[in-house]
Amino acid sequence: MDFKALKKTLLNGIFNENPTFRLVLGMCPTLSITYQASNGIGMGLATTFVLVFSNLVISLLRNLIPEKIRIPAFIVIIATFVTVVEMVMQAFLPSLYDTLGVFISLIVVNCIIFARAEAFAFKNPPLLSAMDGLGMGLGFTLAITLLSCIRELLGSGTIFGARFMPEWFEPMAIAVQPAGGFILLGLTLATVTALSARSQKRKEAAK
Amino acid sequence: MRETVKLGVRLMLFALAAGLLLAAVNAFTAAPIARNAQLKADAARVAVIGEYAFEPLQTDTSGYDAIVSVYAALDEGGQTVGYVYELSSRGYAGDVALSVGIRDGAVSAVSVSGHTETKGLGTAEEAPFLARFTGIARAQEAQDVDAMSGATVSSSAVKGAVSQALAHARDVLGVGEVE
Repeated sequence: MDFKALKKTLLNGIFNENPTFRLVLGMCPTLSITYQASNGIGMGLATTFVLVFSNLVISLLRNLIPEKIRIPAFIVIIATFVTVVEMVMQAFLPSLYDTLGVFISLIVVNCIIFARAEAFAFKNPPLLSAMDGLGMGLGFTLAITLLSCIRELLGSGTIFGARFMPEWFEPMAIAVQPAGGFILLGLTLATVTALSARSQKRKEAAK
Repeated sequence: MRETVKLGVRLMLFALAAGLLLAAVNAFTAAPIARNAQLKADAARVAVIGEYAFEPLQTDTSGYDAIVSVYAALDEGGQTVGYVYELSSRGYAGDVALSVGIRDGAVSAVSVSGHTETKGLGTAEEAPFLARFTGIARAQEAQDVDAMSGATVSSSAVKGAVSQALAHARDVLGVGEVE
Protein backbone atom coordinates (compact mmCIF):
# COMPACT_ATOMS: atom_id res chain seq x y z
CA MET A 1 0.00 0.00 0.00
CA ASP A 2 1.64 3.20 -1.01
CA PHE A 3 1.63 6.17 1.24
CA LYS A 4 0.65 8.62 -1.50
CA ALA A 5 -2.70 6.93 -2.16
CA LEU A 6 -3.54 6.99 1.58
CA LYS A 7 -2.74 10.69 1.82
CA LYS A 8 -4.75 11.44 -1.28
CA THR A 9 -7.78 9.55 0.10
CA LEU A 10 -7.51 11.38 3.42
CA LEU A 11 -7.33 14.83 1.84
CA ASN A 12 -10.07 13.95 -0.63
CA GLY A 13 -12.54 13.65 2.24
CA ILE A 14 -11.46 16.89 3.85
CA PHE A 15 -11.36 19.09 0.73
CA ASN A 16 -12.39 17.82 -2.74
CA GLU A 17 -15.31 15.74 -1.53
CA ASN A 18 -16.05 17.37 1.80
CA PRO A 19 -19.28 15.64 2.90
CA THR A 20 -20.98 18.84 4.07
CA PHE A 21 -19.75 21.47 1.63
CA ARG A 22 -19.26 19.34 -1.50
CA LEU A 23 -21.41 16.22 -1.25
CA VAL A 24 -24.04 18.02 0.87
CA LEU A 25 -24.70 14.85 2.86
CA GLY A 26 -25.73 14.47 6.49
CA MET A 27 -27.72 17.68 6.58
CA CYS A 28 -29.99 16.54 9.40
CA PRO A 29 -27.40 16.54 12.21
CA THR A 30 -25.67 19.49 10.55
CA LEU A 31 -28.71 21.71 10.90
CA SER A 32 -30.03 20.47 14.21
CA ILE A 33 -27.03 20.43 16.52
CA THR A 34 -24.74 23.19 15.21
CA TYR A 35 -26.08 25.94 17.45
CA GLN A 36 -23.01 25.75 19.70
CA ALA A 37 -19.39 24.99 18.86
CA SER A 38 -18.88 22.22 21.43
CA ASN A 39 -21.80 20.29 19.90
CA GLY A 40 -20.24 20.58 16.44
CA ILE A 41 -16.92 19.10 17.47
CA GLY A 42 -18.53 16.41 19.66
CA MET A 43 -20.91 15.29 16.93
CA GLY A 44 -18.11 15.43 14.33
CA LEU A 45 -15.74 13.26 16.33
CA ALA A 46 -18.46 10.74 17.23
CA THR A 47 -19.32 10.44 13.52
CA THR A 48 -15.63 10.14 12.61
CA PHE A 49 -15.20 7.23 15.03
CA VAL A 50 -18.18 5.41 13.54
CA LEU A 51 -17.03 6.13 9.97
CA VAL A 52 -13.49 4.83 10.50
CA PHE A 53 -14.57 1.61 12.18
CA SER A 54 -17.59 0.85 10.01
CA ASN A 55 -15.50 1.43 6.87
CA LEU A 56 -12.69 -0.75 8.22
CA VAL A 57 -14.95 -3.63 9.25
CA ILE A 58 -17.08 -3.52 6.11
CA SER A 59 -13.95 -3.55 3.99
CA LEU A 60 -12.48 -6.48 5.95
CA LEU A 61 -15.71 -8.44 5.55
CA ARG A 62 -16.44 -7.36 1.99
CA ASN A 63 -15.75 -10.84 0.62
CA LEU A 64 -17.89 -12.49 3.31
CA ILE A 65 -20.91 -10.22 2.89
CA PRO A 66 -23.16 -11.55 0.10
CA GLU A 67 -24.27 -8.85 -2.35
CA LYS A 68 -27.93 -9.57 -1.61
CA ILE A 69 -27.82 -8.87 2.11
CA ARG A 70 -25.19 -6.14 2.09
CA ILE A 71 -27.64 -3.42 3.22
CA PRO A 72 -28.82 -5.22 6.40
CA ALA A 73 -25.22 -6.27 7.09
CA PHE A 74 -24.07 -2.63 6.79
CA ILE A 75 -26.83 -1.54 9.15
CA VAL A 76 -25.86 -4.15 11.76
CA ILE A 77 -22.21 -3.04 11.62
CA ILE A 78 -22.95 0.70 11.66
CA ALA A 79 -25.56 0.39 14.43
CA THR A 80 -23.09 -1.58 16.54
CA PHE A 81 -20.47 1.16 16.43
CA VAL A 82 -23.05 3.88 17.03
CA THR A 83 -24.25 2.02 20.12
CA VAL A 84 -20.65 1.73 21.32
CA VAL A 85 -20.20 5.50 20.92
CA GLU A 86 -23.51 6.13 22.65
CA MET A 87 -22.68 3.97 25.67
CA VAL A 88 -19.15 5.31 26.04
CA MET A 89 -20.35 8.91 25.77
CA GLN A 90 -23.16 8.32 28.25
CA ALA A 91 -20.66 6.82 30.69
CA PHE A 92 -17.78 9.24 30.37
CA LEU A 93 -19.12 12.48 28.79
CA PRO A 94 -22.62 12.73 30.29
CA SER A 95 -23.03 16.48 29.70
CA LEU A 96 -22.22 16.18 25.98
CA TYR A 97 -24.52 13.16 25.82
CA ASP A 98 -27.35 15.23 27.32
CA THR A 99 -27.02 18.03 24.75
CA LEU A 100 -26.59 15.78 21.70
CA GLY A 101 -29.27 13.38 22.94
CA VAL A 102 -31.17 11.58 20.24
CA PHE A 103 -28.81 12.75 17.49
CA ILE A 104 -26.18 10.27 18.67
CA SER A 105 -28.49 7.33 17.94
CA LEU A 106 -29.41 9.00 14.66
CA ILE A 107 -25.81 8.65 13.43
CA VAL A 108 -27.04 5.20 12.33
CA VAL A 109 -29.04 6.79 9.54
CA ASN A 110 -26.46 9.47 8.72
CA CYS A 111 -26.17 9.16 4.96
CA ILE A 112 -22.44 9.99 4.92
CA ILE A 113 -21.68 6.72 6.70
CA PHE A 114 -23.97 4.68 4.52
CA ALA A 115 -22.72 6.34 1.35
CA ARG A 116 -19.09 5.60 2.23
CA ALA A 117 -19.88 1.98 3.10
CA GLU A 118 -21.65 1.43 -0.21
CA ALA A 119 -19.49 3.57 -2.49
CA PHE A 120 -16.05 3.03 -0.99
CA ALA A 121 -15.53 0.45 1.75
CA PHE A 122 -17.36 -2.37 -0.08
CA LYS A 123 -14.97 -2.05 -3.04
CA ASN A 124 -11.64 -1.06 -1.50
CA PRO A 125 -8.98 -2.63 0.78
CA PRO A 126 -9.23 -2.11 4.57
CA LEU A 127 -6.46 0.43 5.17
CA LEU A 128 -7.60 2.66 2.32
CA SER A 129 -11.21 2.39 3.55
CA ALA A 130 -10.29 3.34 7.10
CA MET A 131 -8.38 6.32 5.68
CA ASP A 132 -11.41 7.31 3.63
CA GLY A 133 -13.50 7.14 6.80
CA LEU A 134 -10.99 9.30 8.65
CA GLY A 135 -10.86 11.87 5.85
CA MET A 136 -14.64 12.05 5.47
CA GLY A 137 -15.07 12.20 9.25
CA LEU A 138 -12.56 15.01 9.67
CA GLY A 139 -14.07 16.87 6.72
CA PHE A 140 -17.49 16.59 8.36
CA THR A 141 -16.07 17.63 11.75
CA LEU A 142 -14.31 20.68 10.30
CA ALA A 143 -17.38 21.76 8.34
CA ILE A 144 -19.90 21.47 11.18
CA THR A 145 -17.50 22.98 13.71
CA LEU A 146 -17.04 25.97 11.40
CA LEU A 147 -20.79 26.31 10.96
CA SER A 148 -21.47 25.94 14.67
CA CYS A 149 -18.82 28.59 15.53
CA ILE A 150 -20.56 31.03 13.16
CA ARG A 151 -23.99 30.24 14.61
CA GLU A 152 -22.85 30.45 18.22
CA LEU A 153 -21.02 33.73 17.54
CA LEU A 154 -24.05 35.38 15.94
CA GLY A 155 -26.67 33.74 18.15
CA SER A 156 -25.02 33.97 21.56
CA GLY A 157 -21.96 36.21 21.00
CA THR A 158 -19.64 33.41 22.14
CA ILE A 159 -17.45 30.63 20.67
CA PHE A 160 -16.95 27.50 22.83
CA GLY A 161 -18.66 29.49 25.61
CA ALA A 162 -16.02 32.27 25.59
CA ARG A 163 -17.33 35.76 24.84
CA PHE A 164 -16.09 37.22 21.53
CA MET A 165 -18.57 39.97 20.76
CA PRO A 166 -18.44 43.49 22.26
CA GLU A 167 -20.79 44.45 25.08
CA TRP A 168 -23.28 46.29 22.81
CA PHE A 169 -23.82 43.26 20.58
CA GLU A 170 -27.39 42.01 20.74
CA PRO A 171 -27.42 38.24 19.99
CA MET A 172 -29.46 37.28 16.91
CA ALA A 173 -31.78 34.64 18.28
CA ILE A 174 -32.56 33.31 14.79
CA ALA A 175 -28.96 32.13 14.30
CA VAL A 176 -29.40 29.39 16.92
CA GLN A 177 -32.87 28.42 15.63
CA PRO A 178 -33.25 25.76 12.90
CA ALA A 179 -34.38 28.42 10.37
CA GLY A 180 -31.21 30.43 11.00
CA GLY A 181 -29.27 27.20 10.57
CA PHE A 182 -30.64 26.85 7.02
CA ILE A 183 -29.81 30.45 6.15
CA LEU A 184 -26.27 30.34 7.55
CA LEU A 185 -25.58 26.93 6.00
CA GLY A 186 -26.62 28.38 2.63
CA LEU A 187 -24.36 31.41 3.04
CA THR A 188 -21.41 29.29 4.21
CA LEU A 189 -21.93 26.86 1.33
CA ALA A 190 -22.00 29.75 -1.15
CA THR A 191 -18.82 31.26 0.32
CA VAL A 192 -16.92 27.97 0.24
CA THR A 193 -18.03 27.30 -3.35
CA ALA A 194 -17.05 30.81 -4.47
CA LEU A 195 -13.62 30.56 -2.81
CA SER A 196 -12.84 27.17 -4.32
CA ALA A 197 -14.05 28.30 -7.76
CA ARG A 198 -11.69 31.26 -7.55
CA SER A 199 -8.69 29.16 -6.57
CA GLN A 200 -9.55 26.75 -9.38
CA LYS A 201 -9.54 29.61 -11.86
CA ARG A 202 -6.20 30.88 -10.58
CA LYS A 203 -4.70 27.42 -10.95
CA GLU A 204 -5.86 27.24 -14.54
CA ALA A 205 -4.58 30.73 -15.28
CA ALA A 206 -1.18 29.76 -13.85
CA LYS A 207 -0.97 26.88 -16.27
CA MET B 1 -35.07 -21.66 -0.38
CA ARG B 2 -31.63 -23.00 0.47
CA GLU B 3 -30.09 -19.69 -0.46
CA THR B 4 -32.47 -17.78 1.80
CA VAL B 5 -31.46 -19.96 4.75
CA LYS B 6 -27.79 -19.49 3.92
CA LEU B 7 -28.16 -15.72 3.79
CA GLY B 8 -30.16 -15.74 7.00
CA VAL B 9 -27.51 -17.75 8.82
CA ARG B 10 -24.80 -15.43 7.54
CA LEU B 11 -26.67 -12.38 8.79
CA MET B 12 -27.30 -14.10 12.11
CA LEU B 13 -23.56 -14.61 12.52
CA PHE B 14 -22.93 -10.90 11.92
CA ALA B 15 -25.57 -10.02 14.46
CA LEU B 16 -24.09 -12.48 16.96
CA ALA B 17 -20.63 -10.91 16.63
CA ALA B 18 -22.18 -7.46 17.03
CA GLY B 19 -24.05 -8.60 20.14
CA LEU B 20 -20.89 -9.98 21.71
CA LEU B 21 -19.02 -6.73 21.06
CA LEU B 22 -21.84 -4.68 22.59
CA ALA B 23 -21.98 -6.95 25.62
CA ALA B 24 -18.25 -6.38 26.16
CA VAL B 25 -18.64 -2.59 25.92
CA ASN B 26 -21.67 -2.70 28.18
CA ALA B 27 -19.67 -4.58 30.81
CA PHE B 28 -17.43 -1.60 31.44
CA THR B 29 -19.87 1.27 30.76
CA ALA B 30 -22.86 0.02 32.76
CA ALA B 31 -21.47 1.07 36.15
CA PRO B 32 -20.52 4.67 35.18
CA ILE B 33 -23.88 5.10 33.39
CA ALA B 34 -25.78 4.01 36.50
CA ARG B 35 -23.65 6.35 38.62
CA ASN B 36 -24.38 9.30 36.29
CA ALA B 37 -28.11 8.59 36.43
CA GLN B 38 -27.91 8.49 40.22
CA LEU B 39 -25.99 11.79 40.31
CA LYS B 40 -28.61 13.41 38.13
CA ALA B 41 -31.41 12.15 40.37
CA ASP B 42 -29.50 13.31 43.45
CA ALA B 43 -28.72 16.78 42.05
CA ALA B 44 -31.76 18.44 43.65
CA ARG B 45 -31.00 16.79 46.98
CA VAL B 46 -27.30 17.68 46.85
CA ALA B 47 -28.29 21.31 46.24
CA VAL B 48 -30.11 21.57 49.56
CA ILE B 49 -27.81 19.65 51.90
CA GLY B 50 -24.47 18.78 50.23
CA GLU B 51 -22.66 15.79 48.74
CA TYR B 52 -23.98 12.76 50.56
CA ALA B 53 -25.48 9.42 49.71
CA PHE B 54 -29.28 9.46 49.85
CA GLU B 55 -31.56 6.72 50.99
CA PRO B 56 -35.36 6.84 50.85
CA LEU B 57 -36.88 6.80 54.31
CA GLN B 58 -39.99 4.76 55.15
CA THR B 59 -41.91 7.02 57.44
CA ASP B 60 -45.48 7.92 58.30
CA THR B 61 -46.46 11.09 56.44
CA SER B 62 -50.20 10.95 57.02
CA GLY B 63 -51.47 14.37 58.05
CA TYR B 64 -48.65 16.04 56.09
CA ASP B 65 -50.27 16.44 52.67
CA ALA B 66 -47.36 18.37 51.09
CA ILE B 67 -44.71 15.71 51.75
CA VAL B 68 -44.01 13.54 48.71
CA SER B 69 -40.95 11.67 49.96
CA VAL B 70 -38.27 11.84 52.63
CA TYR B 71 -34.62 10.92 52.16
CA ALA B 72 -31.94 10.43 54.77
CA ALA B 73 -28.56 11.96 53.91
CA LEU B 74 -25.82 9.52 54.90
CA ASP B 75 -22.12 10.34 55.22
CA GLU B 76 -19.34 7.92 54.21
CA GLY B 77 -19.65 6.02 57.48
CA GLY B 78 -23.38 5.50 56.93
CA GLN B 79 -24.31 7.95 59.69
CA THR B 80 -27.42 10.05 59.12
CA VAL B 81 -26.39 13.70 58.93
CA GLY B 82 -29.72 15.18 57.90
CA TYR B 83 -32.90 14.75 55.90
CA VAL B 84 -34.19 15.93 52.56
CA TYR B 85 -37.90 16.46 52.06
CA GLU B 86 -39.41 16.48 48.62
CA LEU B 87 -42.62 18.43 48.77
CA SER B 88 -45.39 19.51 46.50
CA SER B 89 -47.63 22.34 47.56
CA ARG B 90 -50.58 24.04 45.87
CA GLY B 91 -49.54 27.44 44.51
CA TYR B 92 -51.31 30.07 42.45
CA ALA B 93 -51.51 28.10 39.21
CA GLY B 94 -50.69 24.49 39.98
CA ASP B 95 -48.31 22.67 42.24
CA VAL B 96 -44.95 24.01 43.32
CA ALA B 97 -42.39 21.22 43.72
CA LEU B 98 -39.55 21.87 46.13
CA SER B 99 -36.78 20.20 48.10
CA VAL B 100 -35.97 21.17 51.67
CA GLY B 101 -32.81 20.07 53.46
CA ILE B 102 -32.94 19.74 57.24
CA ARG B 103 -29.75 19.40 59.24
CA ASP B 104 -29.44 19.48 63.02
CA GLY B 105 -33.12 20.32 63.21
CA ALA B 106 -32.83 23.48 61.11
CA VAL B 107 -33.35 24.22 57.42
CA SER B 108 -30.06 24.00 55.48
CA ALA B 109 -31.51 25.16 52.15
CA VAL B 110 -34.67 25.25 50.05
CA SER B 111 -34.77 24.82 46.30
CA VAL B 112 -37.68 24.90 43.88
CA SER B 113 -37.46 22.08 41.36
CA GLY B 114 -40.52 22.88 39.29
CA HIS B 115 -43.56 25.14 39.16
CA THR B 116 -46.19 26.49 36.80
CA GLU B 117 -46.65 29.86 38.48
CA THR B 118 -46.85 33.09 36.47
CA LYS B 119 -43.49 33.51 34.73
CA GLY B 120 -41.52 36.57 35.80
CA LEU B 121 -43.49 37.44 38.95
CA GLY B 122 -41.08 37.20 41.83
CA THR B 123 -38.33 35.63 39.69
CA ALA B 124 -35.77 38.21 40.81
CA GLU B 125 -36.80 37.77 44.43
CA GLU B 126 -36.83 33.98 44.35
CA ALA B 127 -33.24 33.41 45.49
CA PRO B 128 -33.27 35.89 48.42
CA PHE B 129 -36.73 34.65 49.44
CA LEU B 130 -35.60 31.01 49.54
CA ALA B 131 -32.41 32.02 51.35
CA ARG B 132 -34.49 33.52 54.20
CA PHE B 133 -35.50 30.00 55.28
CA THR B 134 -31.92 28.89 55.96
CA GLY B 135 -31.34 28.34 59.66
CA ILE B 136 -35.00 28.32 60.63
CA ALA B 137 -35.77 25.56 63.14
CA ARG B 138 -39.42 26.12 64.07
CA ALA B 139 -42.44 25.47 61.87
CA GLN B 140 -44.04 28.74 63.00
CA GLU B 141 -40.96 30.79 62.02
CA ALA B 142 -41.19 29.40 58.49
CA GLN B 143 -44.74 30.78 58.28
CA ASP B 144 -43.51 34.23 59.36
CA VAL B 145 -40.90 34.66 56.59
CA ASP B 146 -41.50 37.78 54.47
CA ALA B 147 -43.27 36.88 51.22
CA MET B 148 -42.11 37.86 47.73
CA SER B 149 -44.01 40.97 46.73
CA GLY B 150 -46.38 40.27 43.85
CA ALA B 151 -46.21 36.52 44.45
CA THR B 152 -47.96 36.10 47.79
CA VAL B 153 -49.77 32.87 46.95
CA SER B 154 -46.62 31.22 45.61
CA SER B 155 -44.76 32.40 48.72
CA SER B 156 -47.42 30.87 50.95
CA ALA B 157 -47.11 27.57 49.12
CA VAL B 158 -43.39 27.49 49.85
CA LYS B 159 -43.85 28.61 53.46
CA GLY B 160 -46.51 25.99 54.09
CA ALA B 161 -44.36 23.23 52.61
CA VAL B 162 -41.25 24.21 54.59
CA SER B 163 -43.17 24.39 57.84
CA GLN B 164 -44.68 20.96 57.21
CA ALA B 165 -41.18 19.57 56.64
CA LEU B 166 -40.01 21.10 59.93
CA ALA B 167 -43.08 19.87 61.82
CA HIS B 168 -42.66 16.35 60.42
CA ALA B 169 -38.95 16.28 61.29
CA ARG B 170 -39.73 17.32 64.86
CA ASP B 171 -42.86 15.28 65.53
CA VAL B 172 -42.23 12.10 63.56
CA LEU B 173 -38.46 11.87 63.14
CA GLY B 174 -37.78 13.47 66.50
CA VAL B 175 -35.09 15.94 65.40
CA GLY B 176 -34.87 19.61 66.38
CA GLU B 177 -36.06 21.41 69.44
CA VAL B 178 -39.43 20.96 71.09
CA GLU B 179 -41.58 24.08 70.98
